[in-house]
Amino acid sequence: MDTEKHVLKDFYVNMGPQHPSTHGVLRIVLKVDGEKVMSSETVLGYAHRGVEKMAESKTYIQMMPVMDRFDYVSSMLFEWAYVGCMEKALGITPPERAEYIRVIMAELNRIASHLLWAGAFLLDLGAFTPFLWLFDARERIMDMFEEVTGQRMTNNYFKIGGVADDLTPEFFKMLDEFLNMIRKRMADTETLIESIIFLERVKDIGFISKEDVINYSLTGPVARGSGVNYDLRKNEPYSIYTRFDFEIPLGEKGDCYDRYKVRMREVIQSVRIIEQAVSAIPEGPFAEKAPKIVKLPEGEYYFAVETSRGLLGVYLVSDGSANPYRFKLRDPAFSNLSILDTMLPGNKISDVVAILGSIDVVIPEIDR
Amino acid sequence: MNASYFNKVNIGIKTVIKGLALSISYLFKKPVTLQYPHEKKRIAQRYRGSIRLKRNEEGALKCIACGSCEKICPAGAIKMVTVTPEGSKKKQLSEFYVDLGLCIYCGLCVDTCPVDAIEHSIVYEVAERKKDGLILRLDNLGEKNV
Amino acid sequence: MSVITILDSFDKEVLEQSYEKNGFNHSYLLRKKDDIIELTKRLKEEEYFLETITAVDKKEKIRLIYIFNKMQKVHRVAVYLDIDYSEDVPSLIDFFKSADWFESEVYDFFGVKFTGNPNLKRLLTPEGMEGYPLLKSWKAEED
Repeated sequence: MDTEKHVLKDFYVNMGPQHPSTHGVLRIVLKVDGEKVMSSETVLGYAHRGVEKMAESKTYIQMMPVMDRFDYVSSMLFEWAYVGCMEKALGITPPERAEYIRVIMAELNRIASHLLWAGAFLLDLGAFTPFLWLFDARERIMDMFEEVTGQRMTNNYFKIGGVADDLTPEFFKMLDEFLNMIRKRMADTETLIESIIFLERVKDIGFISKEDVINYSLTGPVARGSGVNYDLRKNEPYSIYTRFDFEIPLGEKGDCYDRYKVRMREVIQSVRIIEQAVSAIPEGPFAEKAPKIVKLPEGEYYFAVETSRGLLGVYLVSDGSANPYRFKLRDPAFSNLSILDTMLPGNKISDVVAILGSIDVVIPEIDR
Repeated sequence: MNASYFNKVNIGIKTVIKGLALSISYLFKKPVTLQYPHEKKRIAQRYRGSIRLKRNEEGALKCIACGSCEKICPAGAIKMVTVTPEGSKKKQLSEFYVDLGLCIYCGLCVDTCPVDAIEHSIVYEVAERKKDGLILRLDNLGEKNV
Repeated sequence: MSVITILDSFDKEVLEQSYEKNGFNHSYLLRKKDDIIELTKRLKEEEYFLETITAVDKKEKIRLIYIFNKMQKVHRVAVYLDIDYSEDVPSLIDFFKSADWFESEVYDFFGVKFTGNPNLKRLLTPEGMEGYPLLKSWKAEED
């Protein structure tokens, strides 16, 4: 066979939509030369459900459970953005205790999300043990959610004017156990993982510069990994976050390792917030009286919270009826993912997994 | 092959041994996994399992057939058939369907019920061989909801 | 130069929206659509970033919303632009790369074409999709 004639020129590799490391139905078309990625194209829309159109025919209350189904690993943070937006429009302030409960649940959810990310990310890179360790820790959070909200993932717990139900004594017992073990578990994981095998795979690849953070509207740990100090809990404090003492972990170089490190340290900061919130939580009602049929006054409302992936904004346009006139999510992973096509060229195929993993995307949130 | 290469190998071996020692210490801890069909998890009291209708002390359904749950259900899983008996102004429930294949277990129907007549049971094993079995009716609402 | 003086130099209408009520520190409706280029350039010099681009179908026209924000301290500026259904809008891709996907999304849902964006494509809806689903005139098929 004349091999000379069979020079493969453009060779394309389809990564996804059914690929274990894309964690969902994301498709990346890679143009490769040998093992090296020449260019890439991200193809979205495999989990598109048309939620923004659907919202126009659902009532405000009926949209509540839908909020859980965007980013299913940090669902309560999404609920908060939506509920917060409606509370802003209606002029309702939740009672003190509700704010504390919200902070505790939101930070637990942030930890759960980061634990899931870390477990899956390390699993993608070939480390199986931390996956089990971190999922054990996450499992305890899920049990706490079940105890308080009634559901492990799609919680539907935040309500207009507060939360659905009060915390139980059993919850505090479980929380106490969890807080006692999580610090050691994170330290153990880091001792186990920070071997040269892992570091060689994540250090000095997938750089994001500070300029690119602004350029691509990156937020969350992806931006903070590059040293951009942007966290809505500090820069645009909502709820009662000004009362807590916590730090914003920052990376230096902006490579995959920095982003990994930022998330691992964020877990500890969230633990600190929870500890302060638990010790300061006041007695009192857990919810304000809210209307049964919600109708927002005419106008436009925008409310943003910091989810485990970055800035999440909910934009509601109301025409005074019981259905939203326009419902739009400004979701963090959407713009965080948009930088992928510029990051991949020049890297090897095996690094694609590390880079994509370090961005931390949840596809239903992007596709909506 | 230079010195830094061997240095790296050296560090590599050291860190791997350190990690191994740590993971061996986990071998002696109590296992966290459950052998599911044989062992079952403790289910929280607030768990939102399949829907059931509540009865009062006399055994009659509390439901007043107002239809709020049917209206609010985002998935359209609840269907209610009502009759108004002659000589009475009050509507009565004649049939009540919950399609567990559609139900998203969000709890909005329970929240909205004005007379607290509907609730979530803690039943979570609702798998069925036939699709029909997922539709709960008035007569088998009790069957599935132990 | 503060951002308000920058914004004041454009031909615009100030909308009555406050941060406490609506979440926007400033809301401006631009009268000339080409001004958005100059405005974005000036805002980028002041270290603003583009939070999102979206649109609302107002039944006679489409209203585009550009949300800018500042990282150091929150200062959310909403810039509105009223256009006809078939009108083109200049793209912001020269200033913010994130505009690429934001604009593609608006094109996907509303059919607004952004001139100067080379990657404009149907981003989220399935292949072979007809019509623009977030227009109020678009109706979902009954199943």
